[in-house]
Amino acid sequence: MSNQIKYILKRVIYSLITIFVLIAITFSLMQLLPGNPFSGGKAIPEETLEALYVKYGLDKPVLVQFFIYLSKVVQGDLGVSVPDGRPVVDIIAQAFPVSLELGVRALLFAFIMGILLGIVSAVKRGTVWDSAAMFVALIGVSVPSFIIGSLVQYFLALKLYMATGTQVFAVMGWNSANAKILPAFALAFGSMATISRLMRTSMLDVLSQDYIKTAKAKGLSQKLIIWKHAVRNAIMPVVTVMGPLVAAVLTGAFVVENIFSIPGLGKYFVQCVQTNNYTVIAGTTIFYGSFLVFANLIVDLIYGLIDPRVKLTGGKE
Amino acid sequence: MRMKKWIAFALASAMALSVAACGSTATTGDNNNKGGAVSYPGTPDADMVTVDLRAEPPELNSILTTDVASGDILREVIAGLYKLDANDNPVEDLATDTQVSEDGKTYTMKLREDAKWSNGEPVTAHDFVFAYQTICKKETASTYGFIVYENLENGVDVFEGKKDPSELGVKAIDDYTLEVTFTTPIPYAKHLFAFASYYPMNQKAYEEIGADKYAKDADKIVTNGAYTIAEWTHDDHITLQKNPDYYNADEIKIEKIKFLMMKDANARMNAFKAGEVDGIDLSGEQVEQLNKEGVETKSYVDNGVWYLQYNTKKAGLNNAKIRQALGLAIDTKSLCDNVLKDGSIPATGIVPTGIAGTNGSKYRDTAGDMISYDPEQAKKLLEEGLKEEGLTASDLKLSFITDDTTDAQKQAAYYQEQWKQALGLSVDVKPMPFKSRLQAMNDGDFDIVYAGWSPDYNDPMTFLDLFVTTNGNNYGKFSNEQYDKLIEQAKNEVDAEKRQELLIEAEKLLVSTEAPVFPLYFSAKPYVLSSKVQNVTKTGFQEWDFTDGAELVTK
Repeated sequence: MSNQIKYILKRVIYSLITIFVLIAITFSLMQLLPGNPFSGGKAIPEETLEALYVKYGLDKPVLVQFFIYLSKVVQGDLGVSVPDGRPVVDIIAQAFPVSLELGVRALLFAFIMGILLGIVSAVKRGTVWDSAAMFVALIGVSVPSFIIGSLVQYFLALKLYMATGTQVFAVMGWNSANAKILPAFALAFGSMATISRLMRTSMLDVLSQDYIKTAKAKGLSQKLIIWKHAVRNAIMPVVTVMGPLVAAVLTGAFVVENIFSIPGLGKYFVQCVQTNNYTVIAGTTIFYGSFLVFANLIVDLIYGLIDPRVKLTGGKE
Repeated sequence: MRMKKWIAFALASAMALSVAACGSTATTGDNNNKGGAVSYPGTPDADMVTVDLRAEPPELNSILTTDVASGDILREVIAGLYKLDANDNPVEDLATDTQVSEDGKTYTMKLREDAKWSNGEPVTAHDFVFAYQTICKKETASTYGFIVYENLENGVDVFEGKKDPSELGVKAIDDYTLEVTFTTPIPYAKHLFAFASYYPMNQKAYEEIGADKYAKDADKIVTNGAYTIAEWTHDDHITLQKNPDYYNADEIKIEKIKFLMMKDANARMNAFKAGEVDGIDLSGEQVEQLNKEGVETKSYVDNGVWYLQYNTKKAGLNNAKIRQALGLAIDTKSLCDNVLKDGSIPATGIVPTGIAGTNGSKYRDTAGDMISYDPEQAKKLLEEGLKEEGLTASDLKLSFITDDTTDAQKQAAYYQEQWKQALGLSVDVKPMPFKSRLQAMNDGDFDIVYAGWSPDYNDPMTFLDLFVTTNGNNYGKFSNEQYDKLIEQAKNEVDAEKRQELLIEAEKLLVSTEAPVFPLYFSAKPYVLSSKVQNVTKTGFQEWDFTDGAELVTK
């Protein structure tokens, strides 16, 4: 078996163990939440509460519940949302594609803009371009997405509409093309800033390397040096942070989804904890957990493709 | 980095605020609760009105539903025996020719024969029998089931499995004659018949789709009302389409209704101004802002009451005078005008102003004012109470639990200030998440809690029976023999006037003498509509209703 396949196998097994531990921890932690999924402003008669517990299988000992749940998860069943009874798999199937589309749009924007800003400020170091790019990055790093979201919604959706009489950007929703730009921008802004600062540092580092000087001495054009020699090496740290950034963007979309009334998964991920919706807590955590473990695995594999110096080693060598 | 974040946050906030300020000073307007010179045109669609529901309706199965948002949808798509008119009075919907027995317990109703379910089946008396029998079964686990089984003859026995569901107090005499028998005379029976738990259910559809999947998607529910559910994208919108088969279709003037599910208050306002929605709820601050622009806003009493609930088992709070003092010390008018600012009014009893009394009157009008702000009296009562208990003011170490929302904490700070000012008492405020507050209330682990109640049905009883010894909502463990007796008497009284007198007597005992709770305010819901739509019903029992003559304004 080649090292590469061994490495991947090992990583997959580790991932499965990680996910099992995640389920176990989530399951035990959520038992500590005060209250029950059915408690609301009004007291429910004792007998009705008993019946509800039976209906959702919450009357059994926690350990039994855990193993019943595990056996269902293995079969791809994440149970039903408590107390409204929608299958958790349905909820994820409907809401996640929306969050994913938002996330992908945001990440593409963050990646492309971040890299460009980083390159520009590194190459034009110390000029107005550098200052301007880093000022944008500073705002991005410092201002949280809900402020950016509210501001762009107010100015670019509402005020622009009032000034022009045409709807350039929609205030809310996810049903038209012009509704998808502002939320993606708001969500991307912070990551874009992180990427551009990272890219700048990394570019500056690479540009001072000997082989760049050699390239210059050989008389290669500036364009060629930057795009062919510098960027390829400088981009490595950025690829490394893409895994965690995917996590940040996908799980952090809640606020942006809220502001723009986007029917994504963020709401479920956050609100289920406040409402003791056990199955949704476990379901979304497992889902996001698996997704992120998978994303990190992919990033590791891409790493090897981009930079041949990185060896994917498994086994005992 | 943290410092930078804060500075940036402050800058951005300042920017946002200055922009908002510019916007509002541009147009000068008076600051009263109306306005009217300016209006927003609303959505561009010619045959559809779009309003905000705030959240996804969690349960559209009428047998299981409990919440307001689901009620808004069901009201449009299901026809029951009765419906509420624009003034919350019950009027016949599917029922015609209602006969009430001498003892006030049995209702015999003829049903319309031209009503159809959306699967083509006729709506018959059997659909009501099936619905009531199902909701009364324990394994159905309907949270609101008690509203049916505690009232219907043999209901409790059926729920506990001691009697067969066929013995429940609901009979189909023939396909179009329904007989409902209650255990006691219920003066608000027609209100109950308009309530979702009393809606009919088509047995065939319910069993074909399966109880656990019923009403989870647009294609998994059958309806018989003014509208049908045309489209449902979870967490985004529900679109209703006028039902041409509805018996009263001629009176339904709006072709389509779209309910949005917007979660953020500022976004709602932006969407309203940008013509993406025709009707939204407002916060107190948004009302001020719109009125300044000259836009007319409206509000309705939502029949909610908010109060201080005392743990009557705690030292000091076991004394009625001390409980009374803590309530009277709070200037509730100033609370409504300066803190809430949403049209809420100071409470004058526990039963809000919108609740029905006898003969079409409002209960509150007959019952009158039972409490009002009186800091002098509060001080006197506190001194007397402390003396009776052999305590001094410094022995009284009270804490106040409330929700951790901004609004609740703002209010808590106000009460804290008032207690300090009027009584010289330092009360410790403990904000906590909703579920934790409920847990603390359940465990009796509190001194004073800020809580509220919204009615289950349109009668003072829904507020007053909360405080009988055995009620599960009586978190303060208040127990008063005389009070329990008055409520029990009222429940069995056939004569409506006499019953109301008993209820008034009970309420006086509750709020003016014993004070296990101290009502603070009756809440109101401010809202704004675009100029596109008129005659929309918005009341305490009908957050949205478009079946009482709502129409689009043709320009």
